[in-house]
Amino acid sequence: MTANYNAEPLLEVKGLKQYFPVSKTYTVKAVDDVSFKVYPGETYGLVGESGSGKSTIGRSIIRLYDPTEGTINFCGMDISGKMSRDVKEKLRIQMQMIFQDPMASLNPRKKIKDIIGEALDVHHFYNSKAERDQRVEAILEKVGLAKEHADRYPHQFSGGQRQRVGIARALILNPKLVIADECISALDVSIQAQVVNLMKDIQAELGTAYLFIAHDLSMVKYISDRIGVLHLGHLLETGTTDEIFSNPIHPYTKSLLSAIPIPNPELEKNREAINYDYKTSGIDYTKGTEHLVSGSHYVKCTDEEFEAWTKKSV
Amino acid sequence: MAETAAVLTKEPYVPTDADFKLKGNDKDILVDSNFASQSFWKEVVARFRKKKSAVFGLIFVLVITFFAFVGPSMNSYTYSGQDLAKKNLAPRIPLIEYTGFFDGHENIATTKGTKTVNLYFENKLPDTFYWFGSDNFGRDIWTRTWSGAQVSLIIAVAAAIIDMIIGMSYGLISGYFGGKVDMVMQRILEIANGIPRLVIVTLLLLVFKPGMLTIIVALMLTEWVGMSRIARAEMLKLKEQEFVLASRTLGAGSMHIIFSEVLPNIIGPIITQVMFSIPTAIFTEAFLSFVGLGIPVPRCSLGSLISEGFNSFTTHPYQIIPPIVVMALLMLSFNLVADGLREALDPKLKEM
Amino acid sequence: MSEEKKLREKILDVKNLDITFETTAGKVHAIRGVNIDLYQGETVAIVGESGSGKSVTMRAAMGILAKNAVVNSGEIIYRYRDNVGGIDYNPENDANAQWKEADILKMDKKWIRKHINGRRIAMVFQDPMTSLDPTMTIGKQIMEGMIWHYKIDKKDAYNRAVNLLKEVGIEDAEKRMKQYPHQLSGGMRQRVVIAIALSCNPDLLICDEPTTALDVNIQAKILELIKKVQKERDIAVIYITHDLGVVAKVADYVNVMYAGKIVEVGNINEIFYEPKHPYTWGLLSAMPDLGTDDDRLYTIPGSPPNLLHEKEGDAFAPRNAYALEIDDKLEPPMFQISETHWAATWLLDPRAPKVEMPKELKARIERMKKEAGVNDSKL
Repeated sequence: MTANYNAEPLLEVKGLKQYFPVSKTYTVKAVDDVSFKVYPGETYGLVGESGSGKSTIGRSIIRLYDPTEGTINFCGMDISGKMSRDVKEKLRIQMQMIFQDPMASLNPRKKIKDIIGEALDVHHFYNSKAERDQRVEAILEKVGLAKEHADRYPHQFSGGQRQRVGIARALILNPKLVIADECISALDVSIQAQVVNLMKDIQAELGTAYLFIAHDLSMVKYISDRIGVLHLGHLLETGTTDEIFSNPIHPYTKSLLSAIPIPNPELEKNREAINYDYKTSGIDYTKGTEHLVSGSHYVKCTDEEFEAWTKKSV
Repeated sequence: MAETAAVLTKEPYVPTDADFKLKGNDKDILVDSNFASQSFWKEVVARFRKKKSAVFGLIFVLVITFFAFVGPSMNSYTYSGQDLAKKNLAPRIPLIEYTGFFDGHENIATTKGTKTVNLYFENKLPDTFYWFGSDNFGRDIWTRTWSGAQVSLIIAVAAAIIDMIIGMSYGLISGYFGGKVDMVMQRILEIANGIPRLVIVTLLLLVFKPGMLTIIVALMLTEWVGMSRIARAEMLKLKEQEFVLASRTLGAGSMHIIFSEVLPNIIGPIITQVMFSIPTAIFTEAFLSFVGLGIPVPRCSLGSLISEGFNSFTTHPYQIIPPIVVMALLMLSFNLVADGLREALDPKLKEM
Repeated sequence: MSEEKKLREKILDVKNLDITFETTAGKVHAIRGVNIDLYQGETVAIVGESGSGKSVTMRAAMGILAKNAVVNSGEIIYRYRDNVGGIDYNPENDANAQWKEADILKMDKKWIRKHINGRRIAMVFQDPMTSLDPTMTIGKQIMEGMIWHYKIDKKDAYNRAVNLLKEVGIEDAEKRMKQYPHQLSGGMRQRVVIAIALSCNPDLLICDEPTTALDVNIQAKILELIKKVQKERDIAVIYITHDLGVVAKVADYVNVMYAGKIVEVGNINEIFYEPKHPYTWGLLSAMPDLGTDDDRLYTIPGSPPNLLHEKEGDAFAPRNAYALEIDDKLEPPMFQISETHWAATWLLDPRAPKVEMPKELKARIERMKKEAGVNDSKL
């Protein structure tokens, strides 16, 4: 694929913490000390169940939230603290987001061309109306819609088409990084495949990097170069797609992998998913440190745990 | 595998061998028949029309509005023209008078019991017609009722629209920014809401001349609170929606998000609230006029007419009936329309 | 289990169901001649994209169609055992029990509420948060149905409810009885919904996308739970889903639905190892598969049809890479392939050119058969 691992990382997240104070005595630690890198042109999959903090990470990076602690480096700029006007403008152009619910993420009272063209309006990226229309049409075509669609409203589309509009909106400024926040989980399986294929095609053409956030490992496998597994705000295991799928180390990763349904009834009928319960597992995430398995494959655990897990898998 | 066999037999079209050819649809066919394609407003109209009471209310609102603006010029009287020689005449309408109704007779209670009189003949006024009667200065009640309705409508609609603009902006801004901004704005609102309306109006009248403008300002100062609460609640509901987040990630400014992203989506509840606040404003104005804080004479509003009619209610009851009926109908109709709009704009019932 | 029960007793028979919705935008022909059979103790899955009419069919069976629905034709025959009179059944007097039937579409709402909803046919919905009442304790919600349908006293109901919670795998059942839905996790809530559905001993459980709102690892657990209770209680289950992965785990028979019609029906192995309809091919290929390293997924192009505008011929033709000329002119009938396997595609007509499923799919199915140790004779 087009990923360039020799270049400087496009996005570098170091020790990111995102806490939400609920009351004076209680704080939700949505993200707790997470570090990872995304290289230009690659797809980094962030996987976890609901409440694992995966969406929060995406929103902290694109600065919908103010991170509690940690640094976020994007395109050589520090975007974790207070940003200068210039940095902010650059961030808003170079990093875009695709949202989960294709209906909720499109303003129901606006025409498609105005939804997609909003980014151009905000940053004054055109000289004439004709130029704006032309750019909108060009991006519509790229995501597999026709220019006749520009004058319609979101409710006149099917779910898959709406998500294409969402992708078009994210791509019109030609960003370097697109955060796809569960962008396929609201779609039918057959349509999910369409959207994933489309995103891959666009990546091959434009070299956009994706931070692909999902709860479903099976689609993540198709699109990601590298994967990070999140649980309860901790990044438990990260590595290339191959490393994670062929040699999962952490019991949580194993349980996630075993839960993926296989379209093979004779096998699937009698297969049971591996149970994993954090409370009874005896693992304390806060005590874990990064351990290198091989290549770029890291697991977060204590030394004893690491020894026990790697021994079993041999 | 078992052999394949066609099961259904009756065919309207008999296929030929030529039909069994691959059409050659390739892998990337871009299919798109138009999806559910009715505009939002068309559906609103369709749903509104289904609700009979709302349509009925709308018709009444339109009829009353029509008379409020055309009614006063339908006869030769003016709202202020006095003629003491023709005071306290009962309703009399040409042609209909021959049926025995609206012929100018009235029952007057005297010490010797009630007696029926027709003042038109007693005062020798055979060619005079007061359709709704005349008051005790000899002014035409028909003309006064409709010009009163006109004043009431203007005040109510103007107040409601100004409320909408002030209350909506206040609520939207307070809701969107949240945190400290919201805290301060909500406390201000509570203080404004805490002062009784009558106090504000009385204080205002010390400063301004009594009149239409003063009443509009008075209504404005108190009525916007309700609207701003609704706008704020809607904003709180919508501001975490993904389309708003999307705008933020594109770098759109706060004012852009508030007024061009969120506002079009809450126009339904806003319109509904405006429709509900119009009858409230009419009633408030009537109440102020009734206690003498309203429109100065000789101008009149529905409230001041009711107040005047109330004084001669026991002797000439016909004087109070027209403004009361008009006001009751107006309030009922606006409420019906508002109710219909609420359902039409925000359907709870899904169609499938 | 006695020998008799193995005689596959049919409990639900949907015949030629045809439903139109009258919306403000016009008439929507949502169900166009659907037939579904269901036998006691078996699991049928109805698979299709959103808008294919799979949920509407089941709502019709529950007698809870929206008001603007018009049933143009069809029957939904529900068969039940009865030895008391009416629709009740006393298991202690099984010898006198007889099979009776009723057409749900012809019954009035009151009768359906009293005899069918909850008591004989129970439903598990997609989102456990919205199908539970947030202001009522878990215990009360489970007991409610039993008390209303069986007129048992509170104490009895309480004990049964505790047992039900244990049956659906909830620990500390007594403590949970007093809790409110928001105090439970998503997976737990769905277990409670299942407990409620089971509370009145239904014959048939309809699961409408029971796991779509849940995480994958919880999804697996919920499906295993439903399978377990089904086996223990010998009830029939209908799954409504768009996810063939779910189907592979649970179903005995599969109905593939498209645009308000069933386009392929067969037993689970026939659908997964010998699919005949191009739409089924598409659905199967679009499933991500962990065993291959393909870079692209084969997909069904385009979007589901808008049933507001009806199309002549085969509704799937515009999205079908293997469409024939005839598909635009005439709707394909159901062709029989085996005793249980039928498909509505002209490709099965003897006059049609020989068309194979996409080769990626073929390779995948071959590999899967090998993994599962299935050979052709077993089909």
